[in-house]
Amino acid sequence: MHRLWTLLFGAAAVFAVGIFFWAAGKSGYWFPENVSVIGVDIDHLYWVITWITGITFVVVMVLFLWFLWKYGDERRPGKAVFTHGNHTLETVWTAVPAAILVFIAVYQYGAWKEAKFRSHMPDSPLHARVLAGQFEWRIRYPGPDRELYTDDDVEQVNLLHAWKDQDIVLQLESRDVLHSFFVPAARMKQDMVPGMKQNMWFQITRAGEYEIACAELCGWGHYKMKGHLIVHETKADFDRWYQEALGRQNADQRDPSIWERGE
Amino acid sequence: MKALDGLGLAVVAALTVTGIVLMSPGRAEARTPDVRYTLDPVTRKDYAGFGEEGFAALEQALTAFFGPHAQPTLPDGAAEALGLSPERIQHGRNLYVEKCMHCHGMSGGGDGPTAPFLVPRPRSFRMGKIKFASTPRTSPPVHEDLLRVLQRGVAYTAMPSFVNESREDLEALASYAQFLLMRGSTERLVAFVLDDEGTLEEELTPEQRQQAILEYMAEEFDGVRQSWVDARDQVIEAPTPRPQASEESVARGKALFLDATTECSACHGEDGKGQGPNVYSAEPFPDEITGELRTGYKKYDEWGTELKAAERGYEARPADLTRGFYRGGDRPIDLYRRIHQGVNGNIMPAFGGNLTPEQIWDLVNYIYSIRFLGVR
Repeated sequence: MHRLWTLLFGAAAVFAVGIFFWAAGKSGYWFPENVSVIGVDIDHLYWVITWITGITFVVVMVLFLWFLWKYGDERRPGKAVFTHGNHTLETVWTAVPAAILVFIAVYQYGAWKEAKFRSHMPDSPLHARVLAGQFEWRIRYPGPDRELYTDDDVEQVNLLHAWKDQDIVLQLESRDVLHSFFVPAARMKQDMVPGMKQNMWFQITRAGEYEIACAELCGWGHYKMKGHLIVHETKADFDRWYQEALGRQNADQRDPSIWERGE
Repeated sequence: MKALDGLGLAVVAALTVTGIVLMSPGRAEARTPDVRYTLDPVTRKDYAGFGEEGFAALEQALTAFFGPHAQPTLPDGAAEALGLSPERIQHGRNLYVEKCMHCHGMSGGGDGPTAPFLVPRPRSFRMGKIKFASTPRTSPPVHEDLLRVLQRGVAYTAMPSFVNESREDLEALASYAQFLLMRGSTERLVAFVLDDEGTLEEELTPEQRQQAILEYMAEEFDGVRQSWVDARDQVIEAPTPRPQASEESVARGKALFLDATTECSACHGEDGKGQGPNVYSAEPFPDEITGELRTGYKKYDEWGTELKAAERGYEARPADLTRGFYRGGDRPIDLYRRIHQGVNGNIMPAFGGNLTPEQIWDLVNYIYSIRFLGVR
C-alpha cells in the first residue's frame, strides 16, 4: 500500500514534465511570440533558468521516488535508522545552489541594465502616460507639443498606439492600488505604485496588435484589466491615426464615427 | 497506517471528482432557468398597498409581456422600430449575465453584489434614463450614447471601458441596455396606473386581472416605445462650431461661470473643484433623507432619492473641473450637451433654455481653460 504513494507522486512528476513538453508542441510554451528587442535577451535568460531548474527537478524527483519506493516496502525487515547528517553532503548542496545563484545574478545583469536602468532609458520624448486604475488603463499622449495636459493631448482607454521600431517610452502611474503593466509579447513588466512615477521603455519589431495585461492582483476585476498595444507599420501611420483621434476628440458637432477603434 | 492511506486516497479522489464536475461545461446554463427579473424595489416601496399578491400579478404580467430572463423580448415590433434585432438583444443578455451583472444586477437595478462598494453606484436602468446622454433630459438616450459609454467607460468610476470587445458584442450590450431601460420605464408607468385606477383592489379573477394589467402595459409601452423612436431625432447639436478659445471668449465664460443667475460656481465652486456652497458643507447639516446631522455632500441624485438611500454612492457630486476629465465625455460637444441639458437624473440642470449657443461655447472655453489646473 505504501508503494502506491510512490506511484502517485511519480505520476504527478511525469504529468508535470509531460505538460511542459506537450505545451511546447501545442503553443510554444504558452508564450506569445516575442516581438521586442529586449525580449530576445529575456527569452534567453528564461531558457537558461528553465534548464537549470528543469535538470534539478528531474534529479530531485528521481531520488525522491527511489527513496519512497525503496523504504515504502512494508516487507522490509527492521526499523528505520536515523543518521546525524553528513557534512560533506551538506556543504555540497549548499555551495552548488549558491554558485548557481551567483552565476544567474551576474549573467542576467546586462539584460536587467538594458531593460530597467534609468541610465539606459532611450533619449526619446515621452510617448504616453499610462494611468492605471481599477480596472482600466487610461492612456494619454502628449501630442505634437510633447507636453502632457495640453489641448493637443489624446486620451484613450485600454488602447496604446505606437509604431514599429520606435523607442516607446512610457510614464506609468497608478491612481488607486498596486497594478502591473505587462506586455507579454514584449516580455516587459513593470509594477505601478500609487504616488510614484515610473518609466518603462521597449521597442517592438513587428507591426500588429498585442495584449496588455495587469500582472498584479488589484481587486475583483483584475482579470479583465486588459488593453491592447497597437503597433503601426510606420510613424506616418501612427500620425495619421493620431490626427484622426484628435479630430474625434475635438468634435464640436455630431460625431462622424462613434467607434473608438476606427471604422 | 493503512487507514491513513485509505483516507489520503479518498481525499485525492474526492478533490479530483469535484474539480472535474466544477469545470465541466454546461453547469452555468443549467443554473440560469431559475433566474428571473425581480420587481423594482421602488415599486415595492411606493405601492406597498398592492400586497404580495398584487406584486406577483405585476411580475407575472411583465414576464408575459417582456419575456422571461432567459429570453428577453421587446414586444410589438419595438426592436425593429429602433433598429435593434431580437437576436442582438438575446446575445446582449447572455453577455450581460457574464460581464455586467455583478455591478448592474440581474434585473438591471444597479444592485449587483459589487454595487454597495462602489462610489458612485452602478447605474440602475429601472428609471429608463442614464446620466450622460446626447438627448434632451426629458427623453431617453439613443443607441450611440450607450455605445460610447461602453467604449470609453465612465472616467474615474467603476464603469470600465469595453473598447476591446468585438463590435458585434458592443452592439448587443447596447441593445440589451435599451431593453432594460424600456422595461424599467414601463414597469414604473404601469405601477403608477394600477395604483391610480385601483385595478388590484377590484374583485377580479386572476385571468381578468392579468388581462387588465397587460392592457395597461401595452398602452404604456406604446408611449415608451414612441419616446425612444422620437429621441433619435432630438439629439442636441450645436448650431455653430466651437469658436476659438480667445481671451475674450474665456473671460466671458468665466463671468458666466461666476454669475449669480447661472449659479455654476454655487455648485462647482468658484475654483471649479466641485464643492460649492450649494452642494457641500464642512459644517453639520440635516441629511435630506434621514434628517440626521452630517457633513459632506448635501444632495442625492434621483436614484438615491427614489430609493430613499442616504448611502455613499448616491450623493450628487458636481464635477471637479480641474482634474482633466469629465465623466460624460471630454469632447467639446459633450460639454456643450452637458451644459445644454444638464446631467439627467442628477442636480445639474439644463441651461439650454437660458443660454445662447454662443454663451454655452464661451463657458466650454472657460472650462477647458481650467481643466488641467489640478493635475499639472
